Amino acid sequence: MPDQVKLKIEDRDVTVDKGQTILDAALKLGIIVPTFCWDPRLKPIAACRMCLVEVEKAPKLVPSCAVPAIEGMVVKVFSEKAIRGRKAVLEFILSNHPLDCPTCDKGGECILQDHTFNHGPTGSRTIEPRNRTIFDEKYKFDDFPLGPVIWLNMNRCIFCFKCTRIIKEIAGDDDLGAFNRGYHTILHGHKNRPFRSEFSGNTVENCPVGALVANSFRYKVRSWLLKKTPSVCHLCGDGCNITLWHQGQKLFRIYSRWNRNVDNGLLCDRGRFGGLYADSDRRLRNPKIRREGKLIDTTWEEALDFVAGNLESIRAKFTAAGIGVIGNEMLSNEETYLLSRIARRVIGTNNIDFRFEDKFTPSTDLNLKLLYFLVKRIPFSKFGEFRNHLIIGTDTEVTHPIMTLWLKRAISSGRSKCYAAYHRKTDFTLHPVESIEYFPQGEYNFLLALYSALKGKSIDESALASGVASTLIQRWAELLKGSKTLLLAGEALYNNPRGSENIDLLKAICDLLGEGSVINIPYDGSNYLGNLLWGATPGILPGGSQNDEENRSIICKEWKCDNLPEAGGMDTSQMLTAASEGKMGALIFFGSDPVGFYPDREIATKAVQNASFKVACETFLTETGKLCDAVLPLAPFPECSGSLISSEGRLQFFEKAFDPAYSSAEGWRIILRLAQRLGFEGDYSSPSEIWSEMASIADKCGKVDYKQSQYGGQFLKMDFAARAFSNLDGFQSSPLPSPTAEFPMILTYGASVYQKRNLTAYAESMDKIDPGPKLYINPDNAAKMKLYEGDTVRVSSTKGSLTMKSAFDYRIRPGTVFIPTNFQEAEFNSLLSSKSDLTFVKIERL
Amino acid sequence: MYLSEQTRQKIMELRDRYPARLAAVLPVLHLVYDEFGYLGTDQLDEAADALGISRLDMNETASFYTLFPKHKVGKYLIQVCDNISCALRGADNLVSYLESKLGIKVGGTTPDGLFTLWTVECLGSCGTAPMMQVNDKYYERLTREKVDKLLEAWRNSK
Ligand code: SF4
Ligand code: SF4
Ligand code: FES
Repeated sequence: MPDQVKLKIEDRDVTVDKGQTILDAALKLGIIVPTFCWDPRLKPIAACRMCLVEVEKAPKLVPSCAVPAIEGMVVKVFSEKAIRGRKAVLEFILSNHPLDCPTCDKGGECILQDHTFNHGPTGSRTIEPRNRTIFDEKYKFDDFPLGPVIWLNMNRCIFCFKCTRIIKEIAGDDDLGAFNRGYHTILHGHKNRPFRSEFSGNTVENCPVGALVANSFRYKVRSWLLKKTPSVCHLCGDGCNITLWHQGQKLFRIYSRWNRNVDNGLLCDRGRFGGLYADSDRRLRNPKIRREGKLIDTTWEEALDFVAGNLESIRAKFTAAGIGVIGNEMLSNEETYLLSRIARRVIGTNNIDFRFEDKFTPSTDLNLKLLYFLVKRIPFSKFGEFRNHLIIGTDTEVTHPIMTLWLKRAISSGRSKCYAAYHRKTDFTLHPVESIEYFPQGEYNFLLALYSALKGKSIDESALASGVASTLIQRWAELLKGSKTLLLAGEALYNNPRGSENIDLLKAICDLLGEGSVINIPYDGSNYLGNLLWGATPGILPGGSQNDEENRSIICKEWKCDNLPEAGGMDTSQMLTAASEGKMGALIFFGSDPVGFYPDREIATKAVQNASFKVACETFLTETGKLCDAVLPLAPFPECSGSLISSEGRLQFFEKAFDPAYSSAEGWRIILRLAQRLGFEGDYSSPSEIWSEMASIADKCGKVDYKQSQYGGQFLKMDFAARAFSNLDGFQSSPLPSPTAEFPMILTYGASVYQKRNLTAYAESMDKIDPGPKLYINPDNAAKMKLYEGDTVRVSSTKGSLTMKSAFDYRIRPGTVFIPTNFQEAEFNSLLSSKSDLTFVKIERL
Repeated sequence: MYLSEQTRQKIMELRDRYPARLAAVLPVLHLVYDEFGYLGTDQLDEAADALGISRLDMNETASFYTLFPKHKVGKYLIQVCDNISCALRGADNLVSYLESKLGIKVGGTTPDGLFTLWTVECLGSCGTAPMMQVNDKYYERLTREKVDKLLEAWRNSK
């Protein structure tokens, strides 16, 4: 075969593809050549020379990681010359190495230790003092902070440049470089800028030695004392595979579990460092109930009796429709299913929802439409097959860090181009992206304009209404036309007053683009699809079927009951509005915090205050929990088992690393114990029992097909009937309200790239990575207002005002400002009102 | 704006000369050096933007080449070889003589901005040791008298 070459390694024949290296060929034979700088994800640079091998007829030893295999090559890995060569390389690398293994955090898992043990010299021949880069002259301190969480000890560095290459080649960031040369080399950012890439933690995991260490792990524990448990990250929809390193009930660090199809061995800093929130000692420790106006610690028995008793009496007074359940999108499939079951079967209400961060939650019809798209996913690993990627309504770098790496990979392969439309600029730093910034809430008009442009119709009106130059949209239409495109639709499209129309338009646009174009809906939240599928919305029953007569009877048989509550039921917005008017008897919050996150703090607060009884089940005491009558401590993810469906459509099971700390309990257990007190006869001893019950329901609904998930997860095989899409002819552009003279700026808000709600803020490193709430503003706007970075400003809307520091961000659309939602103390939602689509604010310098 | 229009133009021409833009970094460093006599971060940043590569890459590469000054140096950059052949022929005497004549230490620049003194690794002129390179020219088989004369000439040619 012409594309293959045959060579001999250690007297064994091997055939590899043309272009593969000698090292690849050796690996194919199972021959391990020691390496430092080689990494299958990076371009070879042959910096370390550890992989030297002897090639017959070659004058010198060659670095096998970089030299391509050639037909007829005869390679010796273990010849005397090769062994001597590698020993010399190690002696050279060690000549300036401090050998401070006893105090080095990498000790015990250091590749330099391993290679020296296996291949290295037994002693040193030099007596000269070793080169030392000292950070702090006074205390003779060698470590120095590269950024908020990463520390560097330059003496230990062996110059493999994995760290800089990971950041440049994979993450596409430009804040870590290697300056100078030889043993004067030093790593830092351009102009000594702090190392703040949101993928910075990967350098620590991949550094072969202890040169780079994370703040949260430094000088804490020896790695060999830790146990490893495979798990799945819960902090966004990507579902990265992780390993929890723990000792007893203490979680020390989170590393990648290297799923080639999901994360490719990389994690974002939110998952890696933010996930350590589970280890915070500010967690809720005991169940609490309100006595004489105060939340006081109590036992589980008493707390559950108290909650169940109150729910019973509320049900008698208000009927079951007066009780509402608000979960959250991070609950596992098993927990969601149980929650749906207790709401519908045990309490007898359809008032259940899992979204509480948006006021425009999708209707049942839209939910079913979403389900239709959600189950047909393009796996990350296939992103490169698309000519174009069109992202609308999200900043994927914030919502899906690891998915964005796949986009970047597709871009850097040169085969794909990326287009992104959102209300702020999308910038992948070293990877080019074309970005359009429309008005906040301008999704509908933008989609309409793009659709009309593709149809060849006039777009002036809709482009104007979306705040984008019509020539720009025409250009995109030209570029996208006829090409195989992956459309990535963000939450802004469906959590939108015109959500249903948006999805219809998107579908129409997709149909107008080239053959093979597909819509992917990468949702924020680790188990959004699972929540839709297992019945955490009023209109959808477990199994993903619509809540109608026929489907209810299927579920009834399974649950051995005569009837389930008739269709109807309220979503979060409706529940909160009703409760604020005093029309709800009880609210159950399961990991949700509407007071902190619902975009109308006044309504949410009133709702919780005015409900006759309210209970929160959560890991940290939230603003909502503080107002509740009972608070139950929920164990965070390392202490729970269950399964999640990632936004890629991948079903992944995870096991708990250790039992819940303090008196907290796993979610499913809390729901179950409560349900039993309310008259539920069933019992489960583990999530897998729940899962088998769910499986049989899903089978009966005829829509979900799966096998027990193996390592690495697996795709659900599902198919939902397509919904009717509306006729688009009647769609008219709809101009948005403009800011007033008094309130001239539009307020936007959302998550910070490093955080997930306020959970991650409890992680030890987070106050360094992402300190305090800030108001982000475009520098041009700021210049006009004579505002300097760091000035304290007052932001006010008709609803209220906040004081915070200002920060510049050129990505913010002029005329808008942005507040990250992750800081409880900021109370961003006190500026918002559920009555208006857009919030206008004014900014004053204090 | 630091770079002259001319340099900028030349950088633009280099953009597409090689299969990869990074390959043009070295010629660009020379262009910047020719214009300023040193490679400052600000100039390099502009050159990186003009070439269309990341500023980080440009600065990293520049830092690798120690023979490019990174800060403003004197009109005459004196680089004395202090490697073995020159050392055997009295390079260290030469260096200390230059230091005392110029009133600066190795690495320093005279207050009048005329001279900067460096020591460097072998310049490949061992047969004519001791030697030094001043700007682009070699001065070989140096003696104190020769050095006196040269300095005198440069001082006068201000
Ligand atoms: S810090 Fe670690 S990863 Fe980076 S170059 Fe040095 S040894 Fe390699
Ligand atoms: S990308 Fe998402 S799933 Fe992966 S580590 Fe980050 S937060 Fe976790
Ligand atoms: S692994 Fe081949 S040179 Fe570093």
